[in-house]
Amino acid sequence: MSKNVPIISMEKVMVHYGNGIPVLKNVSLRLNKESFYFLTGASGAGKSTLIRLLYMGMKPASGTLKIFGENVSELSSDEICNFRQRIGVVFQDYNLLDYLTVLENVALPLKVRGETQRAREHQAKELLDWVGLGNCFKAYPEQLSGGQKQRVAIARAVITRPDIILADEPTGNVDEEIADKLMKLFYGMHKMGTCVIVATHCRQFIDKFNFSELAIENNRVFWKNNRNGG
Amino acid sequence: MALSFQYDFNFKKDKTNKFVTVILGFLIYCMSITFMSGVFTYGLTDNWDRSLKGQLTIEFPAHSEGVNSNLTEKQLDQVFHLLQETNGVLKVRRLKDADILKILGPWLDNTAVPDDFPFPVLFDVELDRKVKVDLLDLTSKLSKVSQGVRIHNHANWYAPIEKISKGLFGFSVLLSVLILITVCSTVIYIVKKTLSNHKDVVKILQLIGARDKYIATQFKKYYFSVSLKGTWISLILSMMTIFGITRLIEAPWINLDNIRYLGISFCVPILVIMVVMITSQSTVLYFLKNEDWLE
Repeated sequence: MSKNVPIISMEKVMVHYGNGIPVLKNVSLRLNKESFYFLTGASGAGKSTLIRLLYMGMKPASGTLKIFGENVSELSSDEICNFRQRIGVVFQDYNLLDYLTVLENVALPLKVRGETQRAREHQAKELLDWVGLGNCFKAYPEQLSGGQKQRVAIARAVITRPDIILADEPTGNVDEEIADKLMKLFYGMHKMGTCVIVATHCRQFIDKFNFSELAIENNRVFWKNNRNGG
Repeated sequence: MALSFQYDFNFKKDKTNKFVTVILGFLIYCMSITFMSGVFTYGLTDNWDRSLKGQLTIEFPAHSEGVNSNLTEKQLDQVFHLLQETNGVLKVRRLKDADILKILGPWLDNTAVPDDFPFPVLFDVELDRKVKVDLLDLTSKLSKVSQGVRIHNHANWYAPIEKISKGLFGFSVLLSVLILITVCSTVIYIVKKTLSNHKDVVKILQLIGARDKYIATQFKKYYFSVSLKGTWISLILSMMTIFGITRLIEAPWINLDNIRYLGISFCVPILVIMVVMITSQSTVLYFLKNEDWLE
């Protein structure tokens, strides 16, 4: 399948919160399948809002947002659930359930999809091995370091083999060495054919990995460089 | 390591949920007792209904001079004949003096009855419930045989008791419904509060694509287990009540009423559990549909 097929497209999208002050204005862009994007901008610029928009946590105030070719505003709640199962989200603060073990946390998206216990366990173990936490199945999140928690969150985000990975400041709470490992995991997912969008303000990684960069400034989204033709 | 079934929500951390078990247990107990009272009242009415409705007592009063019977054999035959010919009369029996003594027992206490005690002549008449007997006409016909005849229709004095009894049964049903409404209100309040306490988990589950029904099912299963625990409390209290009352009235431990009440003690919780499950699931679905949790 061609990489230049848009998986996300926005046409004159406007977003604002309850107070009516716009956070994002006139956003028009196309994000392609199997591509890697950095989303940059100062704190409070609107990176998290854009990520939220993409996981359908909010709807645009105006304009058209299409994900997987469908207008998000016209989706039923069941369709939104189906779409969310095709999107993996990683947050800076991990969003793990602290009363579930690492294995149960990672397997949760499969449980939601109704997979059997055996299948859930098998896939969760495989992924935890992949992120280097093969010996932490039984541990609880509070027993892990920040970097380990983030790897668990990544494993949970990719266990359903999603078409899109959205990461909101995934390296914000970890040291440089761990951050480097995490970025390599995202790179690995991109290589496996997933569209990866990483919101970050860490210049070092943007320069090192040299992928397309989407910047947010003054409520507007623009390409700093676009290597995917979106 | 096996991933055994567990809730995605940490319900154990909610202190309010611990009280719900006790509250539900108590409400189930109250409903069982109320229902039992209703069934008891209904049973009593039913018994009276079966034994008293359709029964007449025909009295030919004794002469004041102290003659035992004021009817001759011929008159007695006439009365029998007249009654048996009356449409709707199924059975006629003349009460013996011994039977009359038994009836009068509570009033006479242990007083010895003199030989010349003026016994009336009493007839026990069983009527077909489906046929309406004209008692005025019957009285008139019997008066022709002997003056002063009286017909005691038990339905006359039983009617107000039946009304009271039916009213009490209706009241117990109303109370049961009110308790059920209280159960629903409690569950709605607690589920709403629990859902709000676990807002973050709801967000995470929605984020990974969980449907509202999946989340609601988690709550339904949890409140099923909570009400099941409450059922144990209710069953223990109900059994204590049944056996306490049995002991108080000195009835045998195993009797039909107790078996019936035990049946109610088991059936009422099943109804309540079903109501709790449906209410908890519907409440979650309602609030998930009407609130934007990811905002």
